[in-house]
Amino acid sequence: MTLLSVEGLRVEFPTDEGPVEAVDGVDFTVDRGEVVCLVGETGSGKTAACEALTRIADGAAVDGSVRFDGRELTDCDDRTLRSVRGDRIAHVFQQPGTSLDPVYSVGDQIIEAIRLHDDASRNEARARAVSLLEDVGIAAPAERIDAYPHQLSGGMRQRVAIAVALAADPDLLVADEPTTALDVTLQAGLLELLRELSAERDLAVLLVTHDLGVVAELADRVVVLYGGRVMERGGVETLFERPAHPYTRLLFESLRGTADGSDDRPTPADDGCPFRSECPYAVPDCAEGRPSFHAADDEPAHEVACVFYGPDYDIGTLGGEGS
Amino acid sequence: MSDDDPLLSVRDLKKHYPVKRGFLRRTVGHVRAVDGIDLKLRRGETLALVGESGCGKSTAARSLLHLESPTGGEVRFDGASVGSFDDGELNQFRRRAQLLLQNPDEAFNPRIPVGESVAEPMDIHGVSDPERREELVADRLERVGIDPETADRYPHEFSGGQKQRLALARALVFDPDLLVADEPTSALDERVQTRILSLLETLQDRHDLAILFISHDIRTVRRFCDRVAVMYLGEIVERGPVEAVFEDPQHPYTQALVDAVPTLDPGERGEAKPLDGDVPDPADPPSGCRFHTRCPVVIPPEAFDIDAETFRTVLNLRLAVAADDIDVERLRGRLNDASDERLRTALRERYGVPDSLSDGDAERALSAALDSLLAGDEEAALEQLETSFTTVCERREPETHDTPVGSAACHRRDESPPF
Ligand code: SF4
Ligand code: SF4
Repeated sequence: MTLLSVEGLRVEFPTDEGPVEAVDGVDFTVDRGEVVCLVGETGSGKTAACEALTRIADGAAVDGSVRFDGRELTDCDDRTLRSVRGDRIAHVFQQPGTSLDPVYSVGDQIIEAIRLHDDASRNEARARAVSLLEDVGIAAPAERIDAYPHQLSGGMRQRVAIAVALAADPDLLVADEPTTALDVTLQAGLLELLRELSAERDLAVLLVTHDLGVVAELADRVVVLYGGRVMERGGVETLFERPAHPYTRLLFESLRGTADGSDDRPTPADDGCPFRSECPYAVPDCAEGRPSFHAADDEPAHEVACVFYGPDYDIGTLGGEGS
Repeated sequence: MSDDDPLLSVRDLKKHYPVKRGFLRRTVGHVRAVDGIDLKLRRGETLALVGESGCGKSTAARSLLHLESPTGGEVRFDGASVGSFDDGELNQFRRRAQLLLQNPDEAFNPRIPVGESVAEPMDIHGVSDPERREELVADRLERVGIDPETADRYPHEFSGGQKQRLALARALVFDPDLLVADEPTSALDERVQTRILSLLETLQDRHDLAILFISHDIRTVRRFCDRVAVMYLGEIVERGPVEAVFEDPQHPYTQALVDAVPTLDPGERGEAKPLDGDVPDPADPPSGCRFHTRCPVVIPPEAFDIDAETFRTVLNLRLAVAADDIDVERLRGRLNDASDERLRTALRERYGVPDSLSDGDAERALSAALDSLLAGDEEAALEQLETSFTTVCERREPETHDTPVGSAACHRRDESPPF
């Protein structure tokens, strides 16, 4: 069942040189209990897109439709939005410090989050906080609950941040590069935790990452972003087996050590394909309007925004596994 | 010196920091960030130094470059001892051995055009002829793939990857022989990383550059480096050629690093294994093998017939008692004043200890310790656990043994395990 449905999402940030388009018409959905990964590089708009859902970023102009559990969020006033943000949609960030307050014990922070959304007594809330800490894999929760964030290791802090996020029993967890700041030895555990939480609590997870390893470990479905637009989307296995879009292919080839493309920033949004300045296959048509979505193969949900998959071209000329 | 002589040779390098406490700032101990490491690096070669954060790899980099003076040991560069250099020689050394950092922003002042920042090392080393400076800057920018015409732009006009290229151009101003690169690509996107690494490879081939590549990222190291030294808590625990070491690790820590790497195949998800626990405090490193507090295959006591995995769980319980990390009364309260039986089970569960150890003597020893713990006598519990559940790994520092391709310091490689 679709929990979140995003259509034609646009996000603009004001700058000295006029507004900059960070997200330029993005569509995706997340079902209950499903993990969807927004994959992209710096400047792809992945963070802006997920922060726009509940408008956490100051000053961003958001346009398009964000339907969450049947309600249009872009029309909501700030108060409603705040309550959705606390109760139903929770955020976890790359730096656990972003969501934790250094001057309160972790217990107090979880208890406050619980009591903000539920009129539990302090004692009840405390008991629930202890079991939440246990749920997120803190070995000695009763002993840790009075600790302050700085007394915990980075990995434990990120787990506590997740416990705070789960305190109101949300339906959707939006996690922006939650493992990027952690040592690889801790990453595997955190990925496992997110996998379990999603399965056990029927929690939908929208995960933002640049790391294809994280995607392979966690995603059910993948949305590949570049220059503020969706390039490709599909089930994780299909996408890893048969990446179809020229950009996605470059991404995978780069993991194998092929150093194509340039360090230039993506071409500013206009109506052509945003990838065309880097694309090895670009043809004049790529500058003529937005490439529409086409089926990439027989997999119904595997779609690509690239002219080569349209009726006028022969994808065979792209070569590689996708053809 | 012959071609085989290393360009850089580090012997028993140590860097300790005093820990000061109290009003009088008295030294109460030392953080042993780097605690006796050996490294050798030849021209044109790339050596990786890998480990978790807090293992001392960045401190090793700074102290071998003498950006911080080492507490002990010797660094030889091109045959000469860096510790005995006079100011002039040290200056010369600083031109020939350069450091590249993770965050290029640290190398650039946002209000100064990038060309000037790239030229800055020339101020320090007294190259003042403007024409020569401009020529050098243009040449180095070209080398790293940046259009020299953009030298008068400011840092914010460049992407992260371009800034790292600029930082590299600056490091290359004096055509160094050695580049120490401290996580130079970890803040960058995948494709940018690949491009920077391939640039480094090209430059290395062309200029016979030796690179010490410091990283926590096994995948990158496998792609880019020739040899690897694995560092844990200030010490090198394994070394050898990159592919051989990561294909078939000979040290449990290396194995743990490899096992933790996420897959790139969704069909194999869930197989990456986290390494539990944190890197211990380098001011108070564990006795014997420093990895024994986390090692998944820590050697069980000879007296009992229990496997390493089970022993690991009991040892975790013991270490938790030692760290005063078990509060029986809180646990009792949490379990609604549960019976002792229930508490025992809860404690075993918490540390993953089986309901009953397969070895009768071991089970009796553990039960007795748990009884003491429940009776509130933590001291007795700890003593019982420490007497029965002890390992050679904590009693003796492992020697460094030769492996088929390199070396590893682990008791599992001892000829006859010294129980
Ligand atoms: S639309 Fe054109 S530029 Fe864009 S990815 Fe396809 S071929 Fe390349
Ligand atoms: S010496 Fe013991 S604790 Fe250390 S790595 Fe070897 S088995 Fe593990």
